[in-house]
Amino acid sequence: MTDAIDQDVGLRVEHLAKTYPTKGSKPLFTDLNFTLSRTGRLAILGRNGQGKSTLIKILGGILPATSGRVDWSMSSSWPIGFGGGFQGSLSGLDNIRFLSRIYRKNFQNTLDRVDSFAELGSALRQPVKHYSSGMRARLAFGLSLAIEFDCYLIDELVAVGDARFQRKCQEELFERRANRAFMMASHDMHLIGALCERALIIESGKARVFDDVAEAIDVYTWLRAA
Amino acid sequence: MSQRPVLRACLVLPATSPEWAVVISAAAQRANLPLIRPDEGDVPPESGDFVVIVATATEDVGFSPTDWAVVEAGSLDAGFENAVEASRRCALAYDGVPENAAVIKADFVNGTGQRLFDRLDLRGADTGDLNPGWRDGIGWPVFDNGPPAIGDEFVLPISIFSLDTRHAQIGRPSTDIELVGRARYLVFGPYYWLPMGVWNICLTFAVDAEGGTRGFRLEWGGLEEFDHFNFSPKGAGRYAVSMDHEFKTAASVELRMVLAEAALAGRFVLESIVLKRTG
Repeated sequence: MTDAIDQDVGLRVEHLAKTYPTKGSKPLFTDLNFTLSRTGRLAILGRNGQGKSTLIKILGGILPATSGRVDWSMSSSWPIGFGGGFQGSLSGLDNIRFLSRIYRKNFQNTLDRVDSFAELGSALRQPVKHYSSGMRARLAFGLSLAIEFDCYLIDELVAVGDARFQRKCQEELFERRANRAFMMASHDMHLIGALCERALIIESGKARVFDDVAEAIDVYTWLRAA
Repeated sequence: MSQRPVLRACLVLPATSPEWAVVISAAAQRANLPLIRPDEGDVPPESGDFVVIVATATEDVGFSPTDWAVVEAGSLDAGFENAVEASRRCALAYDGVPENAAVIKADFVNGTGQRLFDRLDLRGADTGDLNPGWRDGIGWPVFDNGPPAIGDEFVLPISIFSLDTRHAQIGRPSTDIELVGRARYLVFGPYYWLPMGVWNICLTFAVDAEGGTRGFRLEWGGLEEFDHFNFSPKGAGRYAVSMDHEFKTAASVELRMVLAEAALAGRFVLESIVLKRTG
């Protein structure tokens, strides 16, 4: 029974803590513990500046934790919506080629899928450093979908693109990849309530996981109003 | 030659204790003492001794009784629903009863030398047919010694209250309540009955540093009419919060200790709940 439960766990976080190494800074969170199953959907809630994006970047391997462990037993994306990590002097095409090699994917297939989704057209031939933040995010999102991860880390996804593109993002992620795991930071409570089964709230150095997402939304709503 | 004082007594005989009516009637006949039943149209005479039978002490009998007695409405065996019902019967029977009223239970019948109002000899009745009276140990100590008097204080067992255990931590007692979550009731109950009067409830608790920053509200009273008090402990420590409520008639009572705002951390440990009649 225990083995079956453990096999379902795709992410295990133990005693995770993060404090930025500046004088007088307070911890963003301490002793954070949770697991995510291979089909789990966990929302990350918190007011601006409380540490949501930092947590996602730690989980995505972009930032180091101050202490604790992050153990992945499934593949995870980089934080979608995060436009960093590209080689700015390279074109979009070259960045796609580079990442295809890292993840051992066929370049042409990957390019076709990214081109179809991101709708960047001829801009793919331009250096990424000339892209707007929205273009970077669309490129990053398109690449993450093309590479196909077991778990998607989503940081304020709905801020990317116009309403039509946002709908396209939701379809690609939550409908066509409904059997994947997600961790999503968002202020859209309607989306959170509809898609997530659990939620983690970060506030004033404290972090707590709620198995009842409706309760988490209530608590977060109160925090925002306080 | 000394004369016996005039007896114009009032006996509270709840409708739930009809078996006692047979015993009382038989004793009154033997003593040649009139029993007046206003509910049957009887009117008290202008003079002479008599006993008026009423269902509750709040009925207007039209005169000031010289003596009072109340038949205790009695307890039932085991089970929360029956215990609450037993408290209801007692509360209604004791509602408005003077503190010096005689309390009639089955053991009164077997008492040596006791006579109700010094006139009615109840001995000889078959106590097997009589409601035994309030039983101790069913979780509501208020009626353990008959009608509660002003100044009587009762430590209530926490087991008769409902506690929020939604985020209960394994290994901790149920009185150690995790505050994480939405605003909600932490402690509520117990829905037993009290007779009319002013009743004070005092709740003692401890909070940690996080719990001490939260806002709470104490609500106390009947199910539909209650008083409330908002407070915030302002730090870790042990605290007591109390408040009065006037029950104008016997009522099912409810205490609610409310976490008035959402919390991401904090602990609340319930220590004791004390009930006191203050008026």
